[in-house]
Amino acid sequence: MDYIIRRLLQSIIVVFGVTIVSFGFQFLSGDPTYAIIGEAQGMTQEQVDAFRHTMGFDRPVPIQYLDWLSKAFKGDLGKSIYYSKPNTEIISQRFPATVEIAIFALVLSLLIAIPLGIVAATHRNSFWDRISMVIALIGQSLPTFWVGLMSILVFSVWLKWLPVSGRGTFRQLILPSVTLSLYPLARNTRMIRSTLLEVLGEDFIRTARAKGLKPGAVLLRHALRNALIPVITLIAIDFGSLLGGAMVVETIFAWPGMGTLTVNSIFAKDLPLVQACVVFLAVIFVAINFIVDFVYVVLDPRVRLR
Amino acid sequence: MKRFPVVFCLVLALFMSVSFAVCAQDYDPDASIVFTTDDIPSTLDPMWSSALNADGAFRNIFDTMFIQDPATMLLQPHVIKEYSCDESGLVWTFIIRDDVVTQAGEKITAEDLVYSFERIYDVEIAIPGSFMSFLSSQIEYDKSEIIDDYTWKLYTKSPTPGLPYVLAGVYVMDKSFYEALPSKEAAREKIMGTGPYYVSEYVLDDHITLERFDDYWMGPQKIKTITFREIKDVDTRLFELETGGVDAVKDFSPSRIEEIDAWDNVKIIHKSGGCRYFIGFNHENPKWQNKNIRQALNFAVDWNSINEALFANGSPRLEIDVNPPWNDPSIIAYQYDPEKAKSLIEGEGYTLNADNYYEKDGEVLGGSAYFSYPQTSVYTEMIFAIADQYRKQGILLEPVYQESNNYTTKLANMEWDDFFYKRDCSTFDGLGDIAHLAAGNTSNYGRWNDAKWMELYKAFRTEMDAAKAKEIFYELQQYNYEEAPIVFLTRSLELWALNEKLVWEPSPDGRCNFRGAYVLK
Repeated sequence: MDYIIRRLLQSIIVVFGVTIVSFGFQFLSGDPTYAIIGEAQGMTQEQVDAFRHTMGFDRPVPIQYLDWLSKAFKGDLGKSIYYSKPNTEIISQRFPATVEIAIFALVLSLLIAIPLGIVAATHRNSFWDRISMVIALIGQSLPTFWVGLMSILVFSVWLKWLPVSGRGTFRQLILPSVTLSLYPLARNTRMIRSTLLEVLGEDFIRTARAKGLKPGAVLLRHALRNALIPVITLIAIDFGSLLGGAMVVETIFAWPGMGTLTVNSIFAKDLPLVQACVVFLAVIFVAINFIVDFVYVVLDPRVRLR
Repeated sequence: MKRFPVVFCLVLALFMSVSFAVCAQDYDPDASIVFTTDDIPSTLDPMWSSALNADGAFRNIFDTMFIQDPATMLLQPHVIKEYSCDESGLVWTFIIRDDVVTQAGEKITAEDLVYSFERIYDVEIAIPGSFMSFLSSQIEYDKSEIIDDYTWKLYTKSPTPGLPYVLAGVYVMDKSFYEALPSKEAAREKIMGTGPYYVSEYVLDDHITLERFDDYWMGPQKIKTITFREIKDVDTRLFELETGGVDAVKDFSPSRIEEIDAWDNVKIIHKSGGCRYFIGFNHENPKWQNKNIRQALNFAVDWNSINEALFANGSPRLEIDVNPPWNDPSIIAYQYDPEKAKSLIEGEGYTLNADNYYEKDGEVLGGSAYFSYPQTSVYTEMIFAIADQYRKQGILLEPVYQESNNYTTKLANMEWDDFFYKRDCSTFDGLGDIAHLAAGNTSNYGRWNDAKWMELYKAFRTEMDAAKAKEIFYELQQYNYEEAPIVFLTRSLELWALNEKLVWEPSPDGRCNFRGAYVLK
């Protein structure tokens, strides 16, 4: 219980830190008034000052922060200037698209990474091990934007199998999900391989074999179950990253999710929305990690004992 | 035999009418097109439109009070069919067409026009920095008077000869529809126009689909459905065009022209746009208060090399920072003349130092030039190319990237010493083109403040006689050219890649108004 409370407190501190950083960054590059109104073409200085006052940018920064924080606690993340809607409403409209692509990418990566990692570990230094490690290396090395554009070129332009971009049909989900799954796939393959190799060398595996269990049962029931525990943490981090870090993929494939929303809000200089997106994604990321810590305790008694 | 000519004429007439009928049906009346750009409207209320590309969708849904010819940008009557102004220049009378109806079949009257016009002044609706906010700043509005259903009198506090051009940007909105909405904010999700298309589907940040309004007062358009799709990534936009997923793409690098031109069924249209690129001087710095030095920097730009290398020869040198049809055609752009530049600089007492830069009283001729274009932009390449050309001629121009907000803040607060590099965009209304150099204007970052210039500017701004106004404006342009308060570079190159079957004349203002467009069968 102490462990959970400690982790909960740490999570709150992280979220609090994120609010300070996300609030503070709008003041890093000059007057936020100009960030919003741009070059103020056709505006008089009085109009510029009036707008600064309306936005509350003429108040001391700590007061602005406390005002924003108190509203955020009540679930009010402010109002978007660009979309002219409450930020929570916009985020709630866009978040499902990102969850959709993130889940599909994650499932896809696990469906490939787990068997690939097992084959690599159980056939160490074999041809299959080397092949899976090459795949993992490629997946981790290639930049997402390049993979995305190349996959469009090959599967949409040359082969004409899949649509280039957009959201709405299952076929439109394939290319962005595959692109997004490549990095977690590669990393999980390597992780599963290395943890499985470690577990396969443990005493209890030798005992299981000595009991006369079939190799498949030893692998699946004893070795893999233990090897997957650290992978769970990675999956959680991956999921959090996929939710927040799909900006490049969403932009390339014109996928209307949180990534494109964040990019749009940055380009539109919509500071309230940028802040809201950052805080929302940080809270999601922290929450996922907290849940994983909790699951970890359930799955691995050693964590409780420590 | 005598009947032969009659029969022949009848047969000929029949043949011609059949031919014309076939030609008239040469287009596909059920055609749908998809246009993609980096932005679609962020709300359905045009008052909130801050992006030029987003504004294009509204041009198809709404009518404006006047319209600008896409080929010449000259003003034409539209919903307002006639207008006049009294001698004081303060009272305008507008006669409105009596056959304009909304997409719900309601007649448009003077009351609707007054409502539409006053809406641009409503601070709860028009966001600062938006196009509508810009328009409202152009007129010192006093009041309106409705004479009858189709006559509107508008009073201004100061003479505003350019008022009809401002009205060419104001959308006609149905007062009863918008006032019946529960709140002003509701207009961001409900829309009613008088234009040739109505909104059938709108998905935020994804697409907006427009359907043909068959009872449009000017007659139905030839394209049935137009979808504006938002695709941020330019490569994806072009991939969509290549695979036939979209029919029109805007905004791509001129370096791609050759590649795209080679694609089957795709054509490229390019026009000089309404944004003018220039290098601004800090006129509070004595170094740049010398006209000869400013002229020398104009003569030192080898534009032909830049145009060939970066713009496929499609972007001529800016002769004066005024858009057509207002620019003085007799003004010829500064030509590359390194000898002249050299003599002007040396004539002012500058000599080359050990680093091969011109120097006078221990101060080098030049300094840093703030800019905020992304690294991949062709306009970033442009400033670096100019810096290199200058360097070879002993002039120092050091491009320094600034994050856009930082850039604007620094320029506005005069936290810079020598140059800034930017573009200035306007609505082809003449006055707005050159307003960035007017004293007191917030975007006059260089603090250009010349008595004669301002005198001419004020005279042009208030002169109601068109011929006289033109004369004054040409004089102002000549003076502007001579004084060279900026280094004139080029106009924006507006590029469209279109499906070969799409016949359409894009407007140089960059707005995608598809009126009159059609798709060949």
